Amino acid sequence: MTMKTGSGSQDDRHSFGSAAIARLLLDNITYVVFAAVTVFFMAVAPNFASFGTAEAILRVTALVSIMAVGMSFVIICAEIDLSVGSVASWSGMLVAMLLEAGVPVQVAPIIALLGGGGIGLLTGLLVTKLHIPSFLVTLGMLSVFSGLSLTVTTTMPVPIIDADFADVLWNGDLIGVPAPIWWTLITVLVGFYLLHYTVFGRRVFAVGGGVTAARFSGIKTDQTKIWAFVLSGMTASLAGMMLAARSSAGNPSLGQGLELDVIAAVIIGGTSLFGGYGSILGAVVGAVFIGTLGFGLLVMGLSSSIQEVIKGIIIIAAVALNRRR
Amino acid sequence: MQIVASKISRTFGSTRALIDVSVELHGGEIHALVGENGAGKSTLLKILGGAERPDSGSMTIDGAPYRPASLNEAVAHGVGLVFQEITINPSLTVAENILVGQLNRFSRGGLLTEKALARRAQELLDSFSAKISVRQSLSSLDLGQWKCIEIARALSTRPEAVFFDESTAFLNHREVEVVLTAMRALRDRGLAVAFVSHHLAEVGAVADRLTILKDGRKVGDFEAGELDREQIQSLMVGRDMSKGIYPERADRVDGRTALTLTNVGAGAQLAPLSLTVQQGEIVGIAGLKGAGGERLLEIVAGVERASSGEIQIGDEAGAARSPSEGWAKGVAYLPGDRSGEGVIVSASVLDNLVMAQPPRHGPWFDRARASGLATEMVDALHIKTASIKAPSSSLSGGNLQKVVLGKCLAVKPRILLLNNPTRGVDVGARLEIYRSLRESAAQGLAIVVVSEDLNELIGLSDRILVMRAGIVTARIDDPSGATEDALIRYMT
Repeated sequence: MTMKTGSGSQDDRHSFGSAAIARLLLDNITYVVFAAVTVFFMAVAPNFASFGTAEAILRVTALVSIMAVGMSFVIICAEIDLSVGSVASWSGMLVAMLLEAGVPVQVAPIIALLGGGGIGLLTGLLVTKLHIPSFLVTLGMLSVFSGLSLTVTTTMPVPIIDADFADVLWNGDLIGVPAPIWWTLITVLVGFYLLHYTVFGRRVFAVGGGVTAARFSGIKTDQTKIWAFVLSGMTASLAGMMLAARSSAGNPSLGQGLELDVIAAVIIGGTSLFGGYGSILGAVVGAVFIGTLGFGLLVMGLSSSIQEVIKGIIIIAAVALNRRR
Repeated sequence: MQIVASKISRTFGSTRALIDVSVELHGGEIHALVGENGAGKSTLLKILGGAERPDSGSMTIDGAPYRPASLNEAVAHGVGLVFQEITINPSLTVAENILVGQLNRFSRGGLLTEKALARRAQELLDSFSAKISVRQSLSSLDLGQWKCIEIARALSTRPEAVFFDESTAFLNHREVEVVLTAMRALRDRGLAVAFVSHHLAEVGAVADRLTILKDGRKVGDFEAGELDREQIQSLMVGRDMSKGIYPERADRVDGRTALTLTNVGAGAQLAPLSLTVQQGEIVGIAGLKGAGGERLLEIVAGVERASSGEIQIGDEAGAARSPSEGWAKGVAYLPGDRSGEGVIVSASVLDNLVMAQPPRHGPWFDRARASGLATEMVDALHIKTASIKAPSSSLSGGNLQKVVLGKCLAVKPRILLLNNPTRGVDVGARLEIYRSLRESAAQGLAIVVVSEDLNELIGLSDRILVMRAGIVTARIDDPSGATEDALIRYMT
């Protein structure tokens, strides 16, 4: 192994030509594919290239980006959270019902956010203390909370009348930037510093890279994983409330299927599904990529069923190209 | 049977693994290839066995050209290879594992003819007196016996030469003995046997001839008994080792107690044991796998719980209940499985070195201080790495182990627990590990080391405990006079 690395780094030093450029492109293949897809849409779909488009895409991807921040922590820990979509639905319902019950608008979202964190805490405890694989625990949680969201109002949506709630989370803007983009920026920034600049972030990487080695080195691995699930639950909850603000109602099926886009965004962004590697910014790029793709195909006038097919193929291709060599 | 390889060269990327190496193997002889990591011995053996191809040079078997393009072609020429890794499939039977490559010869209409299969497998096992019955279940056999099943598999193609590539790397003393006995049996049947091993004790025990390699070149061919162990080591490393590879013991330790165990036991695995370790002292624990030494380390480290007894660390009573509590109490632990338990291979050298106690400003990771600490460790332990940011996966085994040791020393521990600290580490890196352990001890560190390398325990320790089946069978207060054989007598 030393031999190969040694020679590789020597190549780096001695070649500045096309090989170096090829290596640079290959190392950032996600961005290359992303740029290519964007250029393609700009060329083919005449209405694609505009500020309006950019804003629309960012709005659409805000939800996936925010959830991808929490999901990154879970996946880098070498775990998975399939429950984020239904936790988002549940949080939307919960906040709508709290507001309907007269809970002040400053308090209800905080309760819902803590509720999301609580679900993550429960998931984390089940995964670490009972040693159940997170795939199974969160698959169960997915079912439990999508079922609960439907049951609490016998599948009826709960309208949200409070205009402040909708403004702050979705409809409003500040210095010309829409609220969902602000929330995305805040979440990404917090996630970025948490993952890349804190001791907790170092532990997340260590736990995902080798859980036994991490534990034997004195890292509280269970605690680290539980916090990752709490973060994922909280970001899912925030996204769920934004969804509710968008449609001015808590709707039990709002978040359905979002988990797939979120996981795809994280993986496209270069995070390893086996843990130990990853970045927050990559996950956001992945989310924007998926959003751009969906929006571009829509602008081109393709039916939504064909969109799904093309989206799936491009996601697989992007991940295939991005595999660690 | 005579295999002659002449002027073999092989290059990987920019590394010249073998340069004009010639070697002769004869039927009825055991030939050892020895050298440090990266000396080219495994590459040479793989070329002889058809698993690698040379860039230049030629090989003949009994005068006829021998140019195998694959393992299968080598087999057709009567050459079999036994690998370092365990290649037994535990969901198959013993007989199926032995004849896995030829199962179609034992099928009738798509169904296996169990009786013929078992008979042939048993013949192969008996042919080198393996003392294994095909009726036994794989789970009742130890790793040495599994290796014998692999040897039987290699024999199933009726080879005239069998090569072993570090086949004893993962085995304990007793298991190694089983494999060495098998090698002798093959030689006595007239086969040409060649092997690569890190353990000079094994080389001394079975080899009839040996070839020493260094940095891809042959140092020389020697008859058994022509060189003693120190001379072999000197030739491998290229510097004088006649003074031995172990640093001088401390004159006397200062007497302050670092670790006190009072009747610490763990069910059947560890009978109640009392032990005190002084600051500055290196205490060695000898024993076969499962004798209790590793369990003792795990208990002190907080990985496992004791079922009885008291543990006192410094002046504080109370055992660590988790590894994180252990580290917080100043107990550093170097586990036995380097890549699974010691380092995080995907993380950088820096991240591994500071993992136990990352430098911090409140919640923030202090990258500048971490880099400083990592650089200090890299320098102190002579870790060979392109940079502290390089991924640990780019390091060799010996350097990886130095990273694990660096992680332990970086927290300035009071007690250091070592489980086989030099397993798979070559002589050069060992020297540096021993030296830094002795230096740390001189500064007041208490060290407990469990090792299967008895010479290492004798050379390094101030005191040795010998264990058998969870019980301390001997306490040796002056190891300088002890011999390997004496320790083995108490171990078995």
